[in-house]
Amino acid sequence: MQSDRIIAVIIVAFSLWLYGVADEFPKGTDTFPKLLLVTLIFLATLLFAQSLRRQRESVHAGEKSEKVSARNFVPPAITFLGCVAFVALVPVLGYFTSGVLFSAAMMFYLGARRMRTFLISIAGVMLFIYILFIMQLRVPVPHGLLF
Amino acid sequence: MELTLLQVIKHVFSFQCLIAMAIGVVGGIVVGALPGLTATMGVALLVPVTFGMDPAAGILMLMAIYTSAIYGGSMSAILLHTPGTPASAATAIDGYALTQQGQAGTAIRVSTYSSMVGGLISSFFLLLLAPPLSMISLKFGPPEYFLLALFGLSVISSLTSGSLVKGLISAVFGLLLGTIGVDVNTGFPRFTFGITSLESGVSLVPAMIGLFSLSQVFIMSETAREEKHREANAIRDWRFFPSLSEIKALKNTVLRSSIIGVIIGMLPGAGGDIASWVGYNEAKRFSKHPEKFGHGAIEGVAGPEAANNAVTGGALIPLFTLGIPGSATAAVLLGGLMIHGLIPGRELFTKYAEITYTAMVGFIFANIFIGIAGMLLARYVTYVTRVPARVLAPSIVALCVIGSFAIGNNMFDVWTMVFFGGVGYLMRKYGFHPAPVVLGLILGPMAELGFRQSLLLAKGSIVSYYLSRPISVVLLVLIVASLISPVILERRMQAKANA
Repeated sequence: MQSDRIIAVIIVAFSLWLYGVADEFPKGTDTFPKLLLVTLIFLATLLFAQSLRRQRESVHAGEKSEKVSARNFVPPAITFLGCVAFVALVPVLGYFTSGVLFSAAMMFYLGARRMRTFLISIAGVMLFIYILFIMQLRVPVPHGLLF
Repeated sequence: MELTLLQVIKHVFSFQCLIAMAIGVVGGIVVGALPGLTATMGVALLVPVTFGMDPAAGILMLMAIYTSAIYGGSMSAILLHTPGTPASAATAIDGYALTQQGQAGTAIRVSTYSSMVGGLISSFFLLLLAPPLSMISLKFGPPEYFLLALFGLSVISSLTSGSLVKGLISAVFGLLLGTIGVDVNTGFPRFTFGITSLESGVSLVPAMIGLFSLSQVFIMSETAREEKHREANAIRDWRFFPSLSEIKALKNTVLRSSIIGVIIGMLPGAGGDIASWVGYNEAKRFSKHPEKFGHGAIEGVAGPEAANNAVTGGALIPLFTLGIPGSATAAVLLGGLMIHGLIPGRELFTKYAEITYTAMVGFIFANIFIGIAGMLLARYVTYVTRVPARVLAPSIVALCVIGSFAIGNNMFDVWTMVFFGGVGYLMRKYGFHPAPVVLGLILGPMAELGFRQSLLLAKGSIVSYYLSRPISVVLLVLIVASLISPVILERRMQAKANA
C-alpha cells in the first residue's frame, strides 16, 4: 500500500518534468503528449487516494499491511547486472564468448554445480542459436576480439 | 487476381509453412509445459525469428505457438499439479487428481483432444467471422480510430491488472512511449534527449521481449536458488486414441466449452485464464455427477482445456479485423503482424489476403497437429518439466539478447530490451501488467493521428463532433462500460463477501 503511494509520487514528479520538456515542443506537436501527461497525473493522484483509503480501511479492520522485503530483490538485481555485463561485453568479446561466460556465471549463481549440466545446457543453447540465427536467418552477430 | 482455396492450401503445405507449423506446435508445447514460461513470453521471444521468414509462415508459427503453449500448460498441471500457464490452473484440479489415481494417461488424452477440438472450432470461427467483420473497419474515420484505440486500451487495462487505475496508468505509459521519436507532421524530435537511435521511436519487438521475457527471468531468479528437484509423475496408462465412451461422455462439455472460449476470446482483454474457469464451472453445472469434480472428473479436464484453446481463435478475430487484441498474447502477436507491415483491418483480407488466409487455414491444421504431436510428445514431456529454472533462466537471456539484436542488427535494440526487462519486472512486482504498455505502444501512433485529425475536422467543439457520429457514440458507450463494469463487479463481490 505504501509502495503505491511512493509510485504515485514518482509518476507525478516524472510527468511534471516531462510536461516541462513537452512545453518546448512546437504548437500541435505538444498537444497529445501533454494530454497524456495530464491524464497520467490524474491517474497517479487517484492511485494515491485509493492507497490512502485502503490503508485507513485496513487499519480500521486491524489488518497488517504486507511489506515486500528488500532481500527479495537481490537475486533479480544481480541477474539484471549480469545481463548488463553480458550486453556490454558483446561488442568486446563477441556474442558467443560473452554468452558462454554469462550463462556459466548465471547458472553457478542460481545454484547449478554439476559440470554435465553446465556443458550440456550451454552447448545446446549456443548450438541452437548458431543454427537458427547464424546459419538460417543470417544475423550478423557482433564478433569481438575472440570470436 | 482472385485468390482461390487451392492456392491457399498449396501455400499452407509449402515447406516453409509446414516447418513453421511444426516448430510452432512443438516449441509451444514445450514452452507451455515448462512451469513459469507463458504463451505470451514464447510468442514475444519468437517474433524476431519470424522477421526474415515468409510473412504467412511467420504469422502461422506465432499463432501455432500461442495455441499449443496454452495446451502445453495442461501437461504440467496434470503431471506436476503446477499449471504451466495461468490458463491451465483449472485443469490442475481434476487433472492431478486423475494422475494420483494412476490415470495420468487418461487426463493427458482428454486434455489433448479437448484442446484440439476447442482450437479447431475457434479456428473455423476465425475463418468465417473475421473477413465479414473486417468490413466494419471501412466505416471508420479518424475519430473512430482514436476511440477504438482508447476502447482497446480501456478493456485490456481493466482485465489484465487487478486494479483498473494501475491498468490505465500502464496503458497511458505505453501511449506516452509511442510519442517518442520524430513527429511525422512537424519533423520535431520528441522526448529523444539527443539520442539519435530514439528518433525512429521505441523499437516494439525489443520492448516486448524485455517486458514479457526478460522480466520473467528476473521473477524466476527470485526462487531459482531454493528450487527443489521436480519429480513429474510417469504416464502408465498411455493410449493414443480416446475410447468411444470417452467421446460420448465429453462431446457436450467440449462443444459447450469451445463456444464459451470463442466468445470470451472475442471480448477484448479477456484471455484463456478466465475462459478456463468459466469452462470448468459450466462443465460442473451441467454434469450429471458434479460431486466427482475435484476428485478426478474427466469433464473437469475437458471443460477448461477446450475453453482455453478456443480462446485463441476468438482472440484473433478482433485482432485481425480491428487491431484490438482479445488477450495479452494477442497483443504481442499484433507486434508480430506489424513487423511484417501487416495492419489489421480490411486490407488484411484484400491486399494481403494470401498471407492472412494462409495463416488462418494453417491455424486449422496447426490445431490438428496439436492433437497428434501432443499425444506423441506426452510421455517425454515429463523430462522437459524437470528442467530447473537455474538452467532455463540463462538460456532465455541468451535468446532475448540475440532476438532483440536480430530485428535491426544494432546493439541499441538490445539495450532497449534490457531496460524494458527491468521496467517490466518492477511493474509486475507492483501490480502493473505489461500488456497495456505494449498495446499503448502499438496503438499510440494510430490514436494520436486520429486525435489530431479529428481536432482539425471538428472545426469547433470536438465533443459535439464525436457525438454526431453513430459509431463514435457506440465506441464511447463501450469505453464507459468497460471502465465502469470492473468497478461495479468489484463492489458486488465486496458486498457478497461482507454479507
